[in-house]
Amino acid sequence: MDRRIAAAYAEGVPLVEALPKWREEFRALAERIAEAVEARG
Amino acid sequence: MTELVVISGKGGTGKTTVAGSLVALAKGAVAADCDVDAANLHLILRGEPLERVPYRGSEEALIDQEKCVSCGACRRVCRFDAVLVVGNRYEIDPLSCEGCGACAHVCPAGAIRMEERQSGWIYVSRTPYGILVHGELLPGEENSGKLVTQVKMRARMIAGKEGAALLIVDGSPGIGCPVIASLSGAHAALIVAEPSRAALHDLLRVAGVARHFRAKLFLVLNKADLSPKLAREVGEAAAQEGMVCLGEIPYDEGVTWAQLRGLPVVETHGPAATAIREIWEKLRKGLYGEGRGCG
Repeated sequence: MDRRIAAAYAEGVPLVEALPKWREEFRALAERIAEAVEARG
Repeated sequence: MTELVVISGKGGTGKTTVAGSLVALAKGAVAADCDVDAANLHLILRGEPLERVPYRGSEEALIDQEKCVSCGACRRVCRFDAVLVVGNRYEIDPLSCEGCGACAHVCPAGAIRMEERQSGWIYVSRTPYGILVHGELLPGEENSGKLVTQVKMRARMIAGKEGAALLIVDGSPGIGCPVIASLSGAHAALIVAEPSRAALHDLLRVAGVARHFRAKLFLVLNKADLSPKLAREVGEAAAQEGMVCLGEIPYDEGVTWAQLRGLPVVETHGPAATAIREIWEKLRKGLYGEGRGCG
């Protein structure tokens, strides 16, 4: 739970802009999704 | 009996959180969960099922193999690729069949008939706060508005039998068919909004739908302190729409705590619980009298 995430969402600010520490996590997640989709062909 | 429907223009505003707490506070009200695509009020209210009846909301085609002349007309007309050729037999794939009836219409041998199929369940449960009726669609099924109507009819019947003064309906998010079915026949609608750009946009859309049904409109601003600026904007827009603002609920991590334990928030003691109790008192008066605007 992090109130700052909820506050950023309320203002329409993407999480990765409001809290840059999440950038790497989301980049890695996007890469894992892309890999999983590719693996399925 | 007064029928109150709790709705929200968008998901995630806290509609079911508020509805569950109102049921807990109302004592003796009958509740109906009409968010049939994702019913979860029974989890908060700890419902014990008393009865479960199948909901038949759609049809599917059935081929009588004795009459089938294997002409293939059904397969050619089906837009959903639901007619399979298995060996030398024509068969219907029930997962692909949309129940449109085109195959039955074109079959020259009269070998295809349409049969009702089960699309979900309707449950009647006992909770510590009274009777709850809820619907549950099966995966991939449609006609959720029809299921909402059946859930409400059953809830009204029970409320009538029990002499309940209030029926509290947890509606669906959005403005689509199930929402329209949720609002139909309601005396009042309580819109749960949050201070966000998306909520402001969707609040105005759902208010338009609710007004069509001539329901008295109430507003609750959830998580109001997350953006005081947007909270003000939402409150002003709601007042212009003629909604009666019942109050604000602060952002409170205790709400998540209560949800994790399957409890209505008002069974806990945080700031959100206090705010919802105050809102309930105003709602009681507002349902039968005049309210005040926001701000």
